[in-house]
Amino acid sequence: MKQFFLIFFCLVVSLWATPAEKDSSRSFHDAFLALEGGAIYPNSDLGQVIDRSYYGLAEFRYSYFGPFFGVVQFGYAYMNTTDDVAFPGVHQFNGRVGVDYPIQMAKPISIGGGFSCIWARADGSDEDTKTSTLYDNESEFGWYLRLDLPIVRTQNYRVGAKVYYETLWTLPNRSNMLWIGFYVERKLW
Amino acid sequence: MNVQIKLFAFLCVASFTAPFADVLPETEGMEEETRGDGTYLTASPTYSYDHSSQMGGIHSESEEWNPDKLRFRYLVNRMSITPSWNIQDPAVWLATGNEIGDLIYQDMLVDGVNSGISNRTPMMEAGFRSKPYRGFWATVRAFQVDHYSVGSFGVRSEWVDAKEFALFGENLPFFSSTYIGLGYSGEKLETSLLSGHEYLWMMGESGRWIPIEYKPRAEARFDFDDIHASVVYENAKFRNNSAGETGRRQEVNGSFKLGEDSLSMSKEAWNFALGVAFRAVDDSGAVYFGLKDDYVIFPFLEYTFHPNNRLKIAGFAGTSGREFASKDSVNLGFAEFSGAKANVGFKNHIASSLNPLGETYEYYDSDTLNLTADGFMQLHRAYLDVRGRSEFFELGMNIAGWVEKGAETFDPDSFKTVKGLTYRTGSVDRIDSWIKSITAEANASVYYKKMLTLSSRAGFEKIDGDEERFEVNPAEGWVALGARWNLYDHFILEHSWTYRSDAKWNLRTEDPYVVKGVWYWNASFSQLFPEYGLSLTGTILHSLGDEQIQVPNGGYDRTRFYCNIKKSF
Repeated sequence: MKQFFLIFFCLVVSLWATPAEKDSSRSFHDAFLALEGGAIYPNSDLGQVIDRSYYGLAEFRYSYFGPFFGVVQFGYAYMNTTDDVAFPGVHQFNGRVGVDYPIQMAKPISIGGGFSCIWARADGSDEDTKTSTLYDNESEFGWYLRLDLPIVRTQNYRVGAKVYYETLWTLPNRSNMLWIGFYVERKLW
Repeated sequence: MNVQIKLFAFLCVASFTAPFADVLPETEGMEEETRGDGTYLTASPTYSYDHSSQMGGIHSESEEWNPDKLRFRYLVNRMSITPSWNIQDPAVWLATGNEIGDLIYQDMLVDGVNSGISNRTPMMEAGFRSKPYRGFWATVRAFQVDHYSVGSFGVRSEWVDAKEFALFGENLPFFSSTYIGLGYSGEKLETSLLSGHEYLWMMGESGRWIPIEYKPRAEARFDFDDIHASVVYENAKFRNNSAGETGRRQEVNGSFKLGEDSLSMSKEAWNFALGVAFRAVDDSGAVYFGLKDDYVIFPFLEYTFHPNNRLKIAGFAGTSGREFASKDSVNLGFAEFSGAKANVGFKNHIASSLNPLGETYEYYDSDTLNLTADGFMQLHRAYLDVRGRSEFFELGMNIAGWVEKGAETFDPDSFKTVKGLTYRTGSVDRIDSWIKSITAEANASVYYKKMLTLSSRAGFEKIDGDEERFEVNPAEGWVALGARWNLYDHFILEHSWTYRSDAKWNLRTEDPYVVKGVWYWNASFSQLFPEYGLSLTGTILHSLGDEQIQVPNGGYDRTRFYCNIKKSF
């Protein structure tokens, strides 16, 4: 939570440091749809129970206000468990809502951040999952920071890479993961 | 309060204040979750001790009936907004949230269900109200808040089957409600009819959580000019599986009022309203509460008199034959002096019952708890309020003193502990001696156009009496700091820090239960698209503070996150 608090204040400071143009007409003026796939790397302790896993997601990105873009995502990941765990994996559905900010000095790179929400349920027989809290549906929230690195850009398409650092507010410790993926984005309007 | 906090509170008081924009909680009626102007202790979404700095008396605001609450819910002898069946504005909306701190992937590191770490519980809501077609509209809504439910889950799951007692999930949420309805909105006419299905837990004076299933619950409302009417029909089922008991209550309650509201801004010098609030019940089998004679009819008169712009007199008086209640107030405003406005006033509250329409009895095994007391209470409060506003600053302070005699309290006969919860028998009683109090609150705000507002508030309430048999000793001090940024009407950040000093429950457990003073941080982040009537909000409540049980038999007050999306029509 301390980390989150620091990020919050950084976000607020950055908003003051880069006053946006007063241009409310940009909301939804441009909209983009992207498909993205990649790998999830759990950090430190979590690696004892979760192996590298793969995800797929769809993203709706839209011009919001000033230089900001709004981001809404829905996706799925099958989280592979290590051999120490009684069941083979966990189904995870995730959603994210946030904003992206194109860095003027490093065009076309954007940084972004926002909130995450996941729904998780263990994969495996009742016998294997009965001692886990994931035997039924569980949900958790968290936050993420991300970097958007477009590699190829045409008038209607972008192809690039995204890197996320995500923290889920789990107990007894927070769950931190690194997501790295590639995307293809089509301009909708 | 420790020294630093006292000093901080003093500095805040010394710097004065203004209205505070509180972060919105999950559902209507849970506003006490984020208020920082007094003592607010939550057991569940359906039970809280809510004591604002400006009400006076030692009771909780929700214990008190008054004509502003004609459309509130009756939960035993309290008035509740939650679960709210108030009609929402035309829109479609969705909300979901959770107490944060589920195990998820930590599960495998700490041995899952054997870890001893309790589950965290969600909230959810979905609703719709159509645009009117020739004035007619339709609405549907389903909502429940599962928070606070883990602490008493073990005991409550003996009463009902957890798989059945909610619209969604098996957490035994304190309420789970759904309704569907039709309405008409015309130039002067607003009318609606709702029907639905609801699961609810009410906390009795015994401290027991009593489950009720309303199937159906129907509510009709009618407002035409100065005529206001509402009627509710409830078919309530009671059950206690472990005791093998079932019961049924059919209830009709409602109100009718003719005339201006006493608080209306009408220019008339005299305003009167005549109203009646009523309840009638038909009980069979094991019903854990009782209403004397099975009905209560409470006619009342509301009035305001403001002969000029400076003086205002307002109040109400009513009687059911068994109980009476009255309140009156006088407020005198002074001419603006050096940019500051001052008001002085006096309020009286004299009643034989805080809630003359509440239940009269609670039945606990072979015991009967009497929920009314002989005699009457009298509360008198005088105040001075001064506030001023310039372009950038707003400062205000309110200093009050009150005295109360015959304050309602509880006289416990015995206590019993069941699986960690403590129940009591006894009856509602009075403190037949004077209780005295001095209260002061100050607030200060700084504005920068409509982009930024910084607010602060601090106050204290010192209560003294010969006979300290208070159900709750309210907090002696509170501090709140908040900010609201509005960036081009498209991005709104709001946050507040609130502190409340220790409060104490004296009569719910054999030894007093102290609720330690706590800081909270609440924040919300909203993306707004006014051009499309669209909003997207994420809210964090009660973070950074200690998680604690604020009411004996209540649930843990955990940090929660919830988000909602709304498209207005």
